[in-house]
Order: sequence, then C-alpha cells, then structure tokens
Amino acid sequence: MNQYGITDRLCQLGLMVMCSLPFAGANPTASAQQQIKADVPIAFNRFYDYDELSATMAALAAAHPKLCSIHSIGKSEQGREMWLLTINNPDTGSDLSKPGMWIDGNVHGNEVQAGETVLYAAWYLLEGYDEVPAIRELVDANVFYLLPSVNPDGRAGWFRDPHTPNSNRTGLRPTDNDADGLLDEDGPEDLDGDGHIGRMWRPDPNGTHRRNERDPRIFERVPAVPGPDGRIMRGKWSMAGSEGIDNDGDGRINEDGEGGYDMNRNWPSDWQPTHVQRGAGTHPFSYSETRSVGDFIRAHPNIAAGQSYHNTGGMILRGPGTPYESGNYPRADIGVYDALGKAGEEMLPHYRYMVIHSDLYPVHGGFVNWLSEGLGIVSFTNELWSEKRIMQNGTNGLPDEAARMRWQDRVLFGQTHSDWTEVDHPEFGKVLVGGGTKYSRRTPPPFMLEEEAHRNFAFTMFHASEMPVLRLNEILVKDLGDDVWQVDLEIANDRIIPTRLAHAASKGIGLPDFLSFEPGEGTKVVLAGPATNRFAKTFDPVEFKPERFKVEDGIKGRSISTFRYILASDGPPSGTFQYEATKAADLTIPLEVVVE
Amino acid sequence: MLLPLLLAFGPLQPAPPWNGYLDDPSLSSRLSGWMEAYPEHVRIDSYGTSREGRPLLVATLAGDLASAESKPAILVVAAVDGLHPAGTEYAVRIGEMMLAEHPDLLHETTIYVLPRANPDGIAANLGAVNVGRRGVSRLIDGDRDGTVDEDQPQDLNGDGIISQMRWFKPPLSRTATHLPDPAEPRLMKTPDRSKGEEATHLIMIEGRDGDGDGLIAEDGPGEVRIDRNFPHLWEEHSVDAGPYQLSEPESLAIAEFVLAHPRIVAALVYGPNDSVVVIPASDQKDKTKKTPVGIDAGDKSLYTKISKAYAEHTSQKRASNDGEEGGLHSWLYAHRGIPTASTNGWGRPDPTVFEEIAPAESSEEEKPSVEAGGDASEAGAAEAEKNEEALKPADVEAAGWLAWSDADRDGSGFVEWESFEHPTFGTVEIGGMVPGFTLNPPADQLDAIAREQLAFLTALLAMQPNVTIEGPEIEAVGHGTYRLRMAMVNSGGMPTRTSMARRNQAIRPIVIRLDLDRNRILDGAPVNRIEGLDGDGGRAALDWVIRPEKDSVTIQIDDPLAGVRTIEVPLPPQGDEGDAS
Repeated sequence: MNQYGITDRLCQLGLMVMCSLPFAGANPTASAQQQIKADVPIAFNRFYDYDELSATMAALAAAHPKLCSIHSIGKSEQGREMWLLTINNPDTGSDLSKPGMWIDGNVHGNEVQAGETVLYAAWYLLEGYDEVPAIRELVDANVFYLLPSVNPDGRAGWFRDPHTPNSNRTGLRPTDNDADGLLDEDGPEDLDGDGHIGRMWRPDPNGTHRRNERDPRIFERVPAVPGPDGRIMRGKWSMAGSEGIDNDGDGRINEDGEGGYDMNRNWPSDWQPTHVQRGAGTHPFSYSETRSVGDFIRAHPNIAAGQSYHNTGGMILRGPGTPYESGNYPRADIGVYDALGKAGEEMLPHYRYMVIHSDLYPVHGGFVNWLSEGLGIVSFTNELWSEKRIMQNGTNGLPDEAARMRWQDRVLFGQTHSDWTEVDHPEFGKVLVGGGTKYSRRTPPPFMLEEEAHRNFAFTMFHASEMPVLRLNEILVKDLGDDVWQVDLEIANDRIIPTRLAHAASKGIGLPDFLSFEPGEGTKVVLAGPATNRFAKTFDPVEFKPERFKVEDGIKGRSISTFRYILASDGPPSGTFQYEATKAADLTIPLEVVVE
Repeated sequence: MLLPLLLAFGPLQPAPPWNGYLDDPSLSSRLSGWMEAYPEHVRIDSYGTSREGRPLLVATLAGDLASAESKPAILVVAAVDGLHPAGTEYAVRIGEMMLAEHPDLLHETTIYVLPRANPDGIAANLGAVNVGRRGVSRLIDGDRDGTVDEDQPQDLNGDGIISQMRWFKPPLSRTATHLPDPAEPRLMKTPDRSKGEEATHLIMIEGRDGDGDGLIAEDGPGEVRIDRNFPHLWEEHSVDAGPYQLSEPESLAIAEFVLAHPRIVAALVYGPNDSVVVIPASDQKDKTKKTPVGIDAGDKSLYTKISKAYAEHTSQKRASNDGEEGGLHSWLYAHRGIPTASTNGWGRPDPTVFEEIAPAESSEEEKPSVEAGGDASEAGAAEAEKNEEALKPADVEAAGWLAWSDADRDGSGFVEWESFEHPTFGTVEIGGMVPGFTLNPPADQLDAIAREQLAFLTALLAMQPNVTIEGPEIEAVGHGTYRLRMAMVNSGGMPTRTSMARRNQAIRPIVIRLDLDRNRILDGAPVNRIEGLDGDGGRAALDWVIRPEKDSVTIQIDDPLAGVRTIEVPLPPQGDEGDAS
C-alpha cells in the first residue's frame, strides 16, 4: 500500500504551499477543494435508468478514448445491449497482459444503485487519472472491466413500471411461476396509480390489525387475547396482499408476474435445480445475460479480482455458499479474503465482512462462488446500503418503526411513503392501498448515494491494488567449480493476493505459472526447480524440461519465492529468465554475472 | 492369388468391434431412406452441430407429422459415447421396424430418435485406427503446458488399435503399479499385498512422449465426455466433465431439444450405462440431500416394472454401468423428471465352450462345468473348488470377456502382449483389451438384438400414462345450484409424472380449470392441480358446487404430457325445486 506514500506526501506538501500563497496566480488545479475536475460531469446524487446509464457510459468512453473503450458483451432477453467499459492504458501494455479486475452490479433488477456504484468507479478512474497519482498508478498497472448492469431489462422495468423495493429481482423471460401452464399471467397492478406497488388492507370487523392511533400510517397487529369485555380483541383491518388483482382466477393475487427467476443462481459452481435452489433456471448460463458474462470472463483469464454489487444490508460477502463447499477455501486463501474484508469493514460504516452460507443463507450457483471456486478469482459481493445509517440513535442497531417514520417525515419530507388511498377492488371491495414506495427500503436516499458509491469504490480499489505484482528480489550466483554454477533467483510478490490461489493450485484451475530460462551463448541448463530459500543446501529439481517448468503454486502473497538453477558454462553464465503468470504481469529478468 | 498380396501388406489387422457398422455417409443415406419410404411419417432434422461441424440428426416418427409435437413422445438417444456405435445400430433398426410394423402406435405417440449424439467421437473411432475415443472433439490442454493437442496416442505397432503399453521393471524414476494377474496373465491388476504380490509393470497408453514431459498422450481431443457434461452430479474441475455444465455443443443441443419438447413421457438411452438389468439405487442422496443419486424411493416400483419388461423382452443378462456423474441418462430423470431406461443393449455372453475342469480331476471325460463336483468325489470337488478360488482373476468381468473372445471371436477382443522397441523407453510390450470390444456385438447379431429392443420399446409405449375422465356428472341441487363431479383415472402402467418430477416440478401437474366466475363457485377451486396419478388405476376425484349463469359449464383439462382437453357440460333441467335430495 505504501507505494503511494511518497507521491501522496509531495501532493499534500504542494497543496499546503499553494494554500499559503493566496495570490500565487490562477492555477486551475490548485483549488481549495479536493474535487475531481471532470470532463464528463456526472451527478451522483440521483439514479439513472437503463437508457440514461447507457448514454452516460457512452459519453464517458467518448471523452477518454485512449484509456476507455465501450462495447456490448451481448444482449439481454429483451434485446438490450449489455454495455461494458474497459479501462486500460495501452502504453503500459495490452489488457490481457495485466491483472484484471471485474466489477459488476444490478444482476437483480431492483438493486439499482449498484449501477451508479459501478459507474462511479469508472468515472473516478478516468477523471482522476490526470490529477491523482494514486489513481493513475491503479489504471497504469491494471485493467478494469466494468459492467454496471447485468440485468438491463430488470433495471429498465424497475424505473419504468410500478414496483416494490423487492421487485423485479428477476430477468424478464416469461416463466410459469405457479405451475399452471400459463406464463406471467398474474402480475401486480398499480390500483391507486401512484407509480408504486404497495400493500392492500381490507376492512374486516374481525381483522388482525388496527391503525395506530397516533400515526394512522402504521398498521399494528392486535393480539387475539381477551379484552376487558372478555371477548378476544380484534382490529378492523386485515392484510389483503400486495397491490393487484387475481388475473387468472385461481384465488391467488400476483403469484405469477414478469419473469420469476434469479440470475444470481445461474452460475456453474454448485449449480442446483430449482427444487434445491429457487430461481436457478434449467441449467447454468441458460439466460443470455449470464451466458454473455460467462463467455467474457472465461475469455479473460487475466482477471484476478472480482467485485459484484447488490443491495441490501451493508455486507461484504465471500463464499462458500454451502458448508459442503468449504473445501474450496483453504486456509491460505481465507487469509487473503480476511485481509481484504477487514479492510473493507473499516472503510464502510455499518458493513460487516461475512461468509455467505454461515452468516447469511445457503446459495447454490452464485456468481462470486463461481468466480472464486470455479475460476480461482478472489471475489466479493457487497450488499449496498444499511438502514442503520438513517437515524443516529446511539446504538448500532436498526431503527424501529417509529424512528423510520421520523426519518420519512423529517429527513425525506415524506417522499418515500405513499399515503393510504381508498380504492375499489374487484374482489375485496373498498381497500386501502399505499405504503412504502419502491425507493423506501433498499436504496439510499439520493443525498447519501455518492458517499456510499465512493467508499465502495475505495474498497474495490484497495482490492485492486493488492492484485499480484512480481519483482526481482535478488539473484545470487555461486561458482561451484568445474564450469558449474548455482544461480538462485528470488521473485517477490509484495501484494496480498497470490498469483495462484491455493484452491486453484490444488484443483488445477487454469494454467499454472511458468518459469523459463533462455540460456545465453555457451550456457546450458543442467537442473532447475524451487528451493526453500537462499540458504537451502538442497532443492527440488524438476524431472523434465528444466528450461521451462510449471510453478503450480504460483508466488504466494507477501512472500519471496526462490528458484535454483544449476548451469553449466565455460565462464560466467548468461541468459534471460521469464516468469509467466496468468494473473500478474510477466517478469523478464536478465542474468548478467559480473566477475571481478 | 490373393494370399501373396495379403502377405505383402504386412500383419493382418484384426477387424474392429464395429466392423460392418454404419459410418456417417451410410447413416445419412439410411435415414434419408426413411423419408423416402415413409414421407408422411418421418421427418429428419438437425437439432445442432458438433464441434467439428457435423450435423446432429433427429428423426421424428409420427402418425401425422403436423401434430407430432402435440402428442406424448418417447425419446431415443444413442451413441453419446464414442465407444458405443452399437447404439446407433439399435436406434436405426428400431426406427425402421417401428415404421414398417407398428405405424398405428405412432398415431398416439411420437418417437424422437437421436441416433448419433456424438458424431465426432464415433468418426474418430471408425477411422483407420481404433483410438478408443469416448468423448467429443474439444481440444484439451491435458498437461496444462499452454499448448493443446501436441501429444496424442499413436499406433506405434501399426495394428490399427490404440492399445496399452506395459513396461516391465521400469526405471526407478517411474513407479510400477501393476502386475499380470496370476489367474489370467493377459490382464493386469494392482498388487494385493496380503497375497505377497508386488507391482512389476507400468501401464501407459500406446504412444510417444511427444513433448518430452514424461507423459504419454496426455493432450488432445476426446477427453471431455458428453456423459460427464450434464448438470446432475456434475463434477467441477474434472477434465472429462468439461469447463462447465453443457459446455459442449453436442450436450447443449440435446438439453435444448429436451427443453423444447415438454411432452416426453419416457426416454431410452443407449450407452455404457444401465438402469434396466439392475435398477439404480433408491436410497442415496447427493451432497445437497435433496436430490437422489440414483432414483427417488417413490419411483422404485416404476423402475422395477420397466426392468421386468426389459427382462421379459430381451435376453441381456449382464450389464455395465459407468456412473451417474454428469450423465445424460441421470439428468433426464433427476432434473427433467423423465423416466429413463438406460441400457447397453447387449451384455457379456457366456462362451459357448465349457470351462475346463480343474487339473485335480484325473478323469479324461469331459464334464460340463455346471455339473462339476456333482459326479466327482467330494475330495476332488473340494480341491477343484480350492484351485478355482486360488485362480480367480481380480477382474472377473474382464476375464469373462476374454473367455468369450477366445472361444467365440477368435481372440479378436484382445491384442496379445508383444514386444516392441519404444523410441524413448526401450523394450516394452504392446497389448490389451481392444477398445469398444465389451460394448459392441458382432454385426451379425445386431438385427436380433434390435428386434428385442423393439419389443421392449413397444412395451414402454404400452406402459405410458393413460388418463381417462369419468363423468363429468352434474346434478341439480335446486334454485340454480348444481353439484358437478368428475374423476380422472390413469390406466397406464406409468404414473402421470414420476415422483422425481413431483419433487423438481420439471413436469408440472395436470391443471383442471373450471371456466366460471369465481363468485359463481360455492365450493371447490377454480384452478385445481392434480399432482400425480399412480399407474394402474391411480384416481383423483374433483367436485364443485356452482351457481352458473349460462346453460353450460366448461371444464378444461391441461395435461402437460397429453395436451389440453375441453369438456362442455350442459346443465340439466332444474326439476325438483325446493326438494333437497
């Protein structure tokens, strides 16, 4: 991390100097505010529907043609393009030659702020490149693949149509949710025309609920216990369901709306059919959205870090998704996840670093599970937004109903509540319709959106900054006599993430690393292989092809690996070493022995 | 005249197990022949393309092609495994016999025949060399050195077969793992330490070490198998399972065909797996504990019934099974809920000569092995038994195949171990079981086997669910109120859907809809789901009390496998008003 230390310090000094000379001249970058001057100004105190998001991404790419390109990785179910931004500096190498970070969001159509969060990352990386050395280094050393919306149809529908905070999670392929042979025949209806799908309460003399006396917006349960007159107490209202009618006459309301599956259960690792995992589809990659993402990621084995954004709850999640997949997380790898997760907890107030199956619930066929377990990529899912942040109450807990109402009224000026309105229901007669709008629970209010986007971006960039970078530590040469030389090559990885996860090494995922030696004139390789360290008296020469051998374990995080060569050379040996890693930039090291 | 010419061409290559079988052009023309002979009843389509560009063909056999997709159907799939071209032979003959002899059956049930699901794998084996290929043609970097296909098996001794190489007393840099089985030295076994056995040989596949990495033939096509590539029990990080479920065009094409044809009532899969000679286990669950490894306990009687039909109509007594992991046959059942009969079609026959009596018997009379010990003295019998036990081979099945190969196939099932000078390893021996020998019968037996398979298929057809409606009956209650009753009975041998389908909902229930405003129904539901009717008389009854406005009421029966039926029930006259019966 401290590689940025010196340049940061100089920046700070520079700014201090500038500030102390108020009339030092009109230097546009020496503003008093730490603010990114953007070629494409984007407001992050608002949400963007699919069309607006696409246009904004296109504008960003057009304004930064050297560093950024935009292309569609495929089409959604309804034919919307899945726009991907690639941020790479061609001067420092092609994208495939560098460790890559994959960042996506909004696979669940209703988890909209994930789109803005990914957009923020692209924007900050591109607009900060010129001004902020730390950002420039991140861009120059790595490649970033950013897909703000994995579910464009879901996103488009969420903004366009009436919804709850929880709908539509699904993609929009018509699906028979209620096993009656019809597809999408009974979705919700916006009966009161407020643009949201709320709840319905019907008047019921034997009702289970009553309206709160002080705040009639609140419906509270009436316990079925005897009151003062000896009769069991009853309220005047009963829940009639979510806003809608029984379209297919089967006695149920809104049981088969648009879609009806979960694209975040459609990935290969521990994929299970729907009787085990609800919403999983018929087989992995059975949806064009997931297949497009899957094809892209498989074609980019340089991806060494993954981040997916969802809502809600304030979590930094890693696999396994079930207890029986725990074997895919050996201790060495857990150490990597823990180091990154804990750093995230510090940067993201009220977020907790959690393990999916034990701290949340079982997930089969999840995306980050596939990245980690199937492909050996260190990956997290962040569940954005915690309601612990809405009201300060001296505890770390969630606000109670009354506090939520005060938040509603006093901080949001009533904007996420729909008043209870009387409506004529074809089946129930007069009902009250209303309640929280689709913006009420899972998305931040706009004024809190940018901060959360930035903090998540910062966590993701910390993760990116810990992707492996290899350097030559030292070469030690020993003349063994008789024209035989021992050369120890020390390669260091100062970052937390190894070039190969222990899981990848144990399951043979992808290609191993390779270490080659191209001998110079007159030099021959006799033996080569890993050694414990420079003091080791013996080492582990490989049986075949010492001039190019596999390093299955890669270079571990924050460590130095030693490789020993026995070379035959009349005079000092010469040649070139090359360490090739799929998930780190290759390292070329010349062997030049100077004899005094 | 001919003999000198033959000698001039070197050693005679034994004919492969599939000698006389259909190659691709012959299969194509055979199928075209169907369309010519039965244009009203057969359509040949392509449901996909193999990795190497060969069409994947499906023949639709139906009484009326226009309505074929609306009828219940049986799916027949063959040659998923490159080593089982016999499956294509059975499928093709069954189709032909069906068209010629049972066209009437096709009016009620459509049959989809996929005769060669892995054309690339089959073509590789049907070429000049029997390479023993099982899988599809995806190139695999098996040794993970960054290049593909640089080290494939090679027919070093030019006998047209990729055999094994055994290396006697290999150098210490390699470990011996096998020894010849004392009971049958042609077969190699792993050492049994309790008997004091030590490994003496290293076994490899016939080939060179092309890339100098110490491994033979580790890189190339044919490793990814369709029968490991399906989602049920799919093994991640196993090379033969492919990089992800249904990653191979051949597998995905079958899966998409099945998903696009929701009226499949049963499937018949020819390959190295068996669920009919021995039914799958019904008491094991997978790692999620929610899906059976074999079959659901509730389907045990169904599978037993199918197994009995197989025993009744065919003579296959022995079967081989290759496991459920990632299989097409196991996916069809566990994920699609379709009762699936998987079969080799043909099992190991008994050799036609009797086995020799153990040497302890001094008699020179021939005694049938069946009666060994019957006439002989007790002591002789006991000693014979003891010798038999001491000489029992480790792999009884393989020994049995060898015995049949020796007796009935002129030893063509086995390549005798013969010395060979290997370019890198020195003196080795090349030999071993001929790939595909244990799965593919001689061509002259195919007709007879296929006739048995046809009999089994017609038995399956006869077993399919058959739901009849009893009633509906409508009875006036009085004052515009009626009681409406109906029952559904399944007289077919199979249930309307398997227990597995009830669990995974891949086949939905039968839905009965009453076409009446909900306010007009006083008792009963407007939409009813019949979760399942057992075979052989399973019954469900429905009744409603209604106050219809019109003078008839309509019931719609939507059966996912049989289609939609509508029954209009006219109202009877309201005769006895005021008189409640």
